[in-house]
Amino acid sequence: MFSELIGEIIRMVKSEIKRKHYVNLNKEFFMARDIFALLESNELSFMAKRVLKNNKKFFGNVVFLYAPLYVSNYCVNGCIYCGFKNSNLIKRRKLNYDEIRKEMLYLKKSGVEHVLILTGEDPENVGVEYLYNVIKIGKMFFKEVSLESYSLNEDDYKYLISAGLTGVTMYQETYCIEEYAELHPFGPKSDYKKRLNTIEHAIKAGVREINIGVLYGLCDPVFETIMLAYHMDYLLKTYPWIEYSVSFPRMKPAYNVKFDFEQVSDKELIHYILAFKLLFPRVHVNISTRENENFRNALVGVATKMSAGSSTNVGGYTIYKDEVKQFSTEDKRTIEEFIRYVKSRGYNPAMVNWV
Amino acid sequence: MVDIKFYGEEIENLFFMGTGKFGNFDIMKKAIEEANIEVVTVAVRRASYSETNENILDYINAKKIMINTSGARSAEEALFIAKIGRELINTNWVKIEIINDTKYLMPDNQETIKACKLLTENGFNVFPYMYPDLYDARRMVENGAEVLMPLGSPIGTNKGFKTKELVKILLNEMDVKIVIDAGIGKPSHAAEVMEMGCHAVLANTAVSISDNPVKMVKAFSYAVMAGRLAYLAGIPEEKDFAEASSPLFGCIGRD
Repeated sequence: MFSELIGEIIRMVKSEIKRKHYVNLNKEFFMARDIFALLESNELSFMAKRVLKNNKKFFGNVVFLYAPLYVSNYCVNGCIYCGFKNSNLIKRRKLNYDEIRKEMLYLKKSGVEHVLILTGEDPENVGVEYLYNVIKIGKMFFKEVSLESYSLNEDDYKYLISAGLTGVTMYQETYCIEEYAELHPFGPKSDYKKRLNTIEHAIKAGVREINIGVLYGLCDPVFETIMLAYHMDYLLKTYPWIEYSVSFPRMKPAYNVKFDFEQVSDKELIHYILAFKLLFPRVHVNISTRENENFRNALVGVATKMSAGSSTNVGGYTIYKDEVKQFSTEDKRTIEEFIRYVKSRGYNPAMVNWV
Repeated sequence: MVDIKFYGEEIENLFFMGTGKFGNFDIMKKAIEEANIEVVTVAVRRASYSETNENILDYINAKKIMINTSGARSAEEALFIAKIGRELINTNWVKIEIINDTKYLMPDNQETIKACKLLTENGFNVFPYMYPDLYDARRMVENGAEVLMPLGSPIGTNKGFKTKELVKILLNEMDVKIVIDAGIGKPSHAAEVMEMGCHAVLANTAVSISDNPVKMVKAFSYAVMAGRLAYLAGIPEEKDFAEASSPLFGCIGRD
């Protein structure tokens, strides 16, 4: 388990980060330790050209699209940066199965074939049985159903896979251990190592696709990117059969969240993404509608997975359009509009990646 | 110039084309039609039967469509995908692609051997994508494969025919058709493959990401044909020194 190595890796990274590094940008393959030098490099244009070239070779002129679907905002955690945190007095909901069908039908009519089911963290209100049924319904509408929910154990994931679950998204949020404790003051999510182990429970259960990430803004972004690289390196070497994606979300304003987060500029974030992609050319980068239109447009070709037309509140597509969102989205284009844009750039917006 | 049959089927254009990675299906369609491509592979994972989305199958007008089990990680999954493909596409030609390494996309020969057996038993004509290992090749053939598809170099790398020496062994030892799949980055690579005696070439990346896929497909088709003709004509061996056109051996033989 990566959690058994994390202490040693953090110590090494904290010591290395203080030194100067150099790497020949022309070399064919980069190793995980090259992340230090790649993040120090000023050759962003050169790096971008290499990444675009690699992406064309490995993914072609294709961008995979998906849509998120929030089914519940019940949450027992106190994550201080989240609009769904337990202490926020917002209307709590869990969609019933008819409402879920209505939301799914809306997405299906827009052409979506890959849906990401999201919940807050409340195993009492949103149990594994409920998730199983949601995934079962999802498989009637879509070819691919992924889940971003609370930490489950291997048996639970096996059970959900039997309903048709294909992918799991699990962000560590931050690799900074001390800050993690402050940011997650109560609730099951406050267990750093349990969170970290969840990805491997899902893999061992047989899930096909894994999406990891940090939430930029919570801690030192350079440290986070390096840790993300070491984590991906470990996963690729230990479980090479999994299709991996990495998300690069930045903190966005959320209801009743007052948090002095680290500012990460567009240029800095692009630098992190390019460095990461040079290390892991076959790993998808996923850019969600958190980011604005211009930023996302610029990253078409670098990012090979993108969400579109997203609503981030429960039942937000058709039923409860005006309720509190988990966070605000900045790219307001509809799925159809985004598809048109992707096509205008000469890319094929692929909705299907798995049957 | 029809001289090669695959599972009893005569194929004239020995350049087989993959259908992934194109920026749009119209270009892919034009490429298939203008270069008279007869065999195309379609990944079932990308074939859509949804009413709202474009269906790749509507853009393919080729003599043979070969199902590609891309996404499969075991023989059982390959069979499952092949069966879906047969329902969707109505073909029994299957490229068995089983990959358990997402970094280099190297084929898993052991699962592929099992898949050859399973799929053949289920009535499929199999085209196993494989690492060119002689022992594994023999097992695939024992399990029903009449064609082998060794990689030229890893998928998408355009590095060319790096496995040449290993494929040469397969050509010498195996009485099956050899189709080089993956890594072929330019027409000259394809010609090299065919000059050596392989029976066809399959490529996707080199075509789909070129600036003009339609021209590139034609270039590959011509190169494949040139290579095949050269092989049939018998390519003279390379020599280190010049050889007189009226050599001594001619004089010796005269009296």
